[in-house]
Amino acid sequence: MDINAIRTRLLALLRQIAPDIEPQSIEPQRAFRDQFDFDSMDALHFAAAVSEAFGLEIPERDYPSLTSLEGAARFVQSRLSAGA
Amino acid sequence: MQNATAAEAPVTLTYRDAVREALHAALRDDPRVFLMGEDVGRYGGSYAVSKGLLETFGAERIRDTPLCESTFVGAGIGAALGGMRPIVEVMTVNFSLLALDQIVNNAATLSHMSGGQLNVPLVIRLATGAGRQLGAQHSHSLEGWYAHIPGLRIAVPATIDDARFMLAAALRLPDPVLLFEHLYLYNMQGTLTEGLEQVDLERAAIRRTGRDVTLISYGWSLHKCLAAAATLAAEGIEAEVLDLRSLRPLDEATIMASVRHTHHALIVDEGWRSGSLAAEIVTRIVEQAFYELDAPVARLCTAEVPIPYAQHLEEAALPSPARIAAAARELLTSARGP
Amino acid sequence: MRVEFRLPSLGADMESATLTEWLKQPGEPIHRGEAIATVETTKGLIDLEAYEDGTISEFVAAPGARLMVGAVMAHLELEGAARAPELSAQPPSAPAPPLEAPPPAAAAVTAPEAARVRLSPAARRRAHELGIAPETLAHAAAPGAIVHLQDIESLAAARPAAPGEARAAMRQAIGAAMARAKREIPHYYLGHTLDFGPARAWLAQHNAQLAVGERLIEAVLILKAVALAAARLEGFNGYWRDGRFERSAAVHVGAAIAVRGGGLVAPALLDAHAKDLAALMREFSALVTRARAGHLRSGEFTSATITVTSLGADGVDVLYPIINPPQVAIIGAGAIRDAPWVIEGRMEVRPLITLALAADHRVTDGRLGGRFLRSIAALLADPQSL
Repeated sequence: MDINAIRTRLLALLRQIAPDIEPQSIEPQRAFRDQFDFDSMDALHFAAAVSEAFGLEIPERDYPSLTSLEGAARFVQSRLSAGA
Repeated sequence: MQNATAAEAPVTLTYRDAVREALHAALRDDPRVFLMGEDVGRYGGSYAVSKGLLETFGAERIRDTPLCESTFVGAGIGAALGGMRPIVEVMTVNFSLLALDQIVNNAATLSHMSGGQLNVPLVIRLATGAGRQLGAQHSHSLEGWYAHIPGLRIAVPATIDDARFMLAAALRLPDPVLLFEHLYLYNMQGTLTEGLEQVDLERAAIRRTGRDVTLISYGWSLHKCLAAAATLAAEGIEAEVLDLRSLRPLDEATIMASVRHTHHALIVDEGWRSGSLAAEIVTRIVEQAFYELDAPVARLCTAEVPIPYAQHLEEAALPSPARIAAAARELLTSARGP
Repeated sequence: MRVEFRLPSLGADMESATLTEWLKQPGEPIHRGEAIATVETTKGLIDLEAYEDGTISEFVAAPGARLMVGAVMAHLELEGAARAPELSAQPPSAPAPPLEAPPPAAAAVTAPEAARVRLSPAARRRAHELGIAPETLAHAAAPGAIVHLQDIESLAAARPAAPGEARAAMRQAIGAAMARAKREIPHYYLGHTLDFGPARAWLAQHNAQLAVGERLIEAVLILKAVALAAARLEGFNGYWRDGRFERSAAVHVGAAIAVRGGGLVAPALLDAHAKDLAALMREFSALVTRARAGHLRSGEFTSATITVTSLGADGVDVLYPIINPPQVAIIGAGAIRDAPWVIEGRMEVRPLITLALAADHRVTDGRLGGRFLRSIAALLADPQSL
């Protein structure tokens, strides 16, 4: 899966969890927590959404990979290609 | 074994039958109870309520009296003080004025003046109201006056259930109770609620629920309100209909709860509006639920004339379902901007 | 075009202002955006600006007059066609009705009767609850019209779009509740630090077996521990009402949830003491989602019997909370941080958390408060018990 397609999909998931986020304002490298007050519940919701959308097992130790848009995109891509 | 009556349909009876059953049960269940009044015995009651009771219970307990209200109400008070449970029938509330001194100066006060030593467990039944072309002197609704008097309890059965069971509740109390039976209701037909064995004498009842406006009434007016509510429902206005049941004490909690729900109140009272029970209810709503109100509280009362004899004039003087519906519409739309 | 210049609403909580000074005189030209009068409000002195070019025809209010929002201050003669002024409380209807002779300026001590907006009592109370200055209703401009409850509800329904306003209203509500708490409740504060290691280890093991959506978060363990302790120890779970403590048998734990962009709500997790962690997690998760989407149910807003608040992973070591009246206790959970901890005489680095209790001294004393905090700590030290 192309990383741009993954990004687009992640953005949509993010908007489900935090509808008040404006997509164009997101800084891909910056942690969600710093950008829009993400807390542990948001992080869990995001991990669950990513897990379901891409059919991935995401153990807790991988949570740190999901803290920014770019990090999450790379994580998903690597896991998808590893599984393929 | 026979079980033919198991699925019997509820028996239809009139309000008159229900009051008679109540009297019958009270006389049967308590030897201290007796009925006294004008024409209650041989004639069977001016409105045929006590027909047949003389034959069943005898002249000792079904006592015809002379046409002298002050005397027989006073005798009833004396009997109550002496340990009996008298039921005194006054033909109409208009005639009770002749016994006003006994009711207001004696029945209502003795318990208080004696520091609770002298109870007056007396029940007075009075017909009230207009609608039968009986002329001014037989048609007035003066129950609101009596509701002014501390020491009395004023109750108004408006349903078959209340006609059947309010008397027993009144007899259980140690204080004088005036039960007002609207003369238009005697022929009303209905059924008793299955399984019902007693009613209270304190609480108002919501007879129909609705979210838009509370119609507060009692007696015959209750039924006019229910008819108006049906009309309004067809127009999309949901009226809540509150039956006061007790005029003294007033069940403020139920009134305020309903007003809190609908934010609009219309009081329908067959009494005249000046210095009326309706005025008292308006005041209490304003005192206790002012910030719930979305419009001034409205009243629909009888025109301020002695009740006319002529049928069309009598009708014009009294609250009617059409006028109640109109007043409710007005209340919900009044003073709204264009 | 002759129009009325009215005192505008300069905020949801503004009801009136005092005219301090006229900065222009009748006949003098005024320009859009130019200050023409100064009023004193609870927020200080504020200049009122003209919203069109024109002249002042005459003053209605005199300096020193206390004016209600919407009160006519002056008559203006505007150039060009009348346009509904954006800021002014009440756009005049066109054509302007014939004006009565204005009272002499010196006599205008309060708002003229014509300027008073007529609200039903229920509408007035609802508007107050919603933080709406009812005088801003265009509806009220119709002469003689009465603002009813439905008008306020419609207005409220029609304008949830202004986030700034909603935020301001929420800030106001938080302010009112907290001011009341600080004014009325004699708070006492206790803090207790504990080793969160056992809870964290148990959680890791528990979550390892579960799909992402079923995993628990640390906050749920704390919520449950508080709920259990509150159910066991009397004096922390319930309400202070009518001068006495009303104990609640059920523990409805209010969870303080930050709303993105500012603000805070503390809806309740009902019967938290009686629910297992999985159920509590599901409900908490749903509650957070709905809280942030602004879809809380009214019961959730009012039913909490005790509250737990936390600043989350980014928080600070200790959070000294303020009781949410009419409740009588609140637990503030600090951030979990690695720090030295003494275990059996040895120093170890452990994940520590400091719990702070604010409780109502009218109901309990520090001694009982200490027991409450320690029993929460004991429950967290033995996560199986949750």
